[in-house]
Amino acid sequence: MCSVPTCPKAGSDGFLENAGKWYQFQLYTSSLQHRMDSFVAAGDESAERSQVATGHLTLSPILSRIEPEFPALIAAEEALTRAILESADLLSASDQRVLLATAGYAWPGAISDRLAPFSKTSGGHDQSAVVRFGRKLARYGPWCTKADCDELTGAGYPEIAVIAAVALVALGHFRCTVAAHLLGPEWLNEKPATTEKEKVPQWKETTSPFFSSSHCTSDALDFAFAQIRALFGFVPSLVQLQSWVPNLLATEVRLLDAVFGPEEHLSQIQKHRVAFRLAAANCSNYLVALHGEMLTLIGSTPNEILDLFDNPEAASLPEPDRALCSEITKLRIVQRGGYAAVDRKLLVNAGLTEAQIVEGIVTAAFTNLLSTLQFGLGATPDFPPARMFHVKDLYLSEEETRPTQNENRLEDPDIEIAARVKAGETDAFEQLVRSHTRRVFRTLYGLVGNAEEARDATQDTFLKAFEHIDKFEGRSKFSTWLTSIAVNTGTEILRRRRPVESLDIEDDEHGFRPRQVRSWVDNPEEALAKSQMDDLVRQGVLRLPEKYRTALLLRDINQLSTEDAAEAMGLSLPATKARILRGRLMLRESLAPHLSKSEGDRHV
Amino acid sequence: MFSCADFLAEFGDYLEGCAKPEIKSCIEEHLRECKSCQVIIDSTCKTIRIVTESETFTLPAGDVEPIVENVMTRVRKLNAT
Repeated sequence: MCSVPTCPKAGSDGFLENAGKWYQFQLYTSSLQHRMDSFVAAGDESAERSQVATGHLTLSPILSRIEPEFPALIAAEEALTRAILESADLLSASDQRVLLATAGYAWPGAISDRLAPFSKTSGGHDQSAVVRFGRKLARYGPWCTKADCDELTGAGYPEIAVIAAVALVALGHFRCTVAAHLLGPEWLNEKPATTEKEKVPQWKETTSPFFSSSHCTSDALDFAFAQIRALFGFVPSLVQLQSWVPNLLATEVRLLDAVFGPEEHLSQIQKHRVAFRLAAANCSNYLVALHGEMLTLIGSTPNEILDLFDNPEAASLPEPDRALCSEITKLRIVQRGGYAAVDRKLLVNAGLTEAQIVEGIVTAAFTNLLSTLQFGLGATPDFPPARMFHVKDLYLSEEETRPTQNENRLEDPDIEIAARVKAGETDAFEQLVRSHTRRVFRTLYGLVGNAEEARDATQDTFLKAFEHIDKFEGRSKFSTWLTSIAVNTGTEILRRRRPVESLDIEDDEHGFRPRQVRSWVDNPEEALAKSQMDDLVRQGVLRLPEKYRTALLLRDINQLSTEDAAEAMGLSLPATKARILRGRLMLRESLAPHLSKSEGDRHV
Repeated sequence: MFSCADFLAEFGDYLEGCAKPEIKSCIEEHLRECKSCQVIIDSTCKTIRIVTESETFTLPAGDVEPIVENVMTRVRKLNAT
């Protein structure tokens, strides 16, 4: 027996922009922790640890939807994860966990927030030397030096432990790159709950590589070297440096083969273009040299390579390749300027298939893994790079990488642009229009149900915003203020119409009880064609009573936080929550007949 | 007892991951026993996922620029008067 307390007040979980995606990421991060705990709990019994690793340490929760198409990739990632964790035996369990989560600290917004608890040691300040090194590597890879590694070996860490630490951080970046894509833009665009103000480290001249290669031989090494010769024609120095840990190296080469080998979706040249472009964005001279050489070997011209380095949008490439290289740049781990997510719709419009996009993302994830390994091990380029990064290139990023002193600007860069518009700089308004057109259109299309009317209303919304920009005081986000104007504009249109279109579903103010309680199919997305599903969602949303429709549009389709949705609608938080839930339950009712299993009905 | 009506009144915050711990445990206890509420929470999560991922109200990327141009033309006109 338990009493039922009143509904909780506003939660502080502002980053929960989207419940569906939150569940996805929850699954990812909690299973990550669970898997680490299970692995550590398995103790020294290598067979048991191996079983734990095989059973749980895969990307499958997050990549499950693509698993049937990429079985070799999933298996290779699993094998690499197992090898990394097995090679990390010399690190403490706590250090292993923290290092794997440390990459999250280098990623923005909600990803950083979700991984932050795992990226701190219990005391917060008692990080071991290897964890401090890992944090620097995760966030400021190009700044790592031989002295950093020497400090660790001087403190008693054998080279194999340092390589394992580097590999753990690299694996974290691989996973975050994939997660960042699958979770969607709001996870990258959101400000982290805690912004750590820290100075970009001082760049120091270093000698490299940071280690010498091992001269040991083993079957695993021989096989890995043969495999990589088949792919690249030689054994890159980055690979040789890892010969201290043959099993890690062998599984890394297997993953490399799974990423670059198949040509069912993207061709090899397309994948090397993606890798080259991202290597350039990551300031990795080593990978720029490696993939530049590969591109030359498979037929790219020097000019094409230089264009791809300087500005992929201007490169003379086929449209899908240009779009892919340009979007992939957003997934760099050496961040310069704001964060953004890959625009899947743009890529589809450029002619890429979903499978090609996934391959592009995985190629990017693997490039981030290799970039991290290279930054941590200090591998020297095997060829002269097409272009070299210099110290000044890194410091160009300093102003943008370092958190600004102006918290408002950090939270909402639109506030500064709006201030310029207020001051008479009309042209600055164009940036705001371009940034928010799609969001405003979605709100209006969902409200008025007609695309042409929504286009006109979108323009009217911006005109009203411009005319009343003086009333925007920067106390809320600009996007929230603009959304409230869009909602008012849409509501006016609906009120001019006769109220006939939205009340198909019963609106009982005093309670809503679900009627459809048959189990749903396991994968609704596979039960119907995308166009059918889109039609059902459109019809279902447009049949909702206006107040619930608006709440659902803002929260689930425009992915505002509950607090921002409340502000945009001018409602209290409890009222907003109630409307969002009602809208979701009503929409569920309209989808249920199409997605329920064919069993007998049961009622609550 | 935590009834189905209690569940319906409380599961909004549970969905958002911000239910108080005591409510969360009541909900989870109720879910272990009640098949209907299991169905409701499962299908509501699926509904959220479907609507979130749907692009039914999305403006095609190529349609953004014409709107930006029209708005800026109108804004400049407005500014000139």
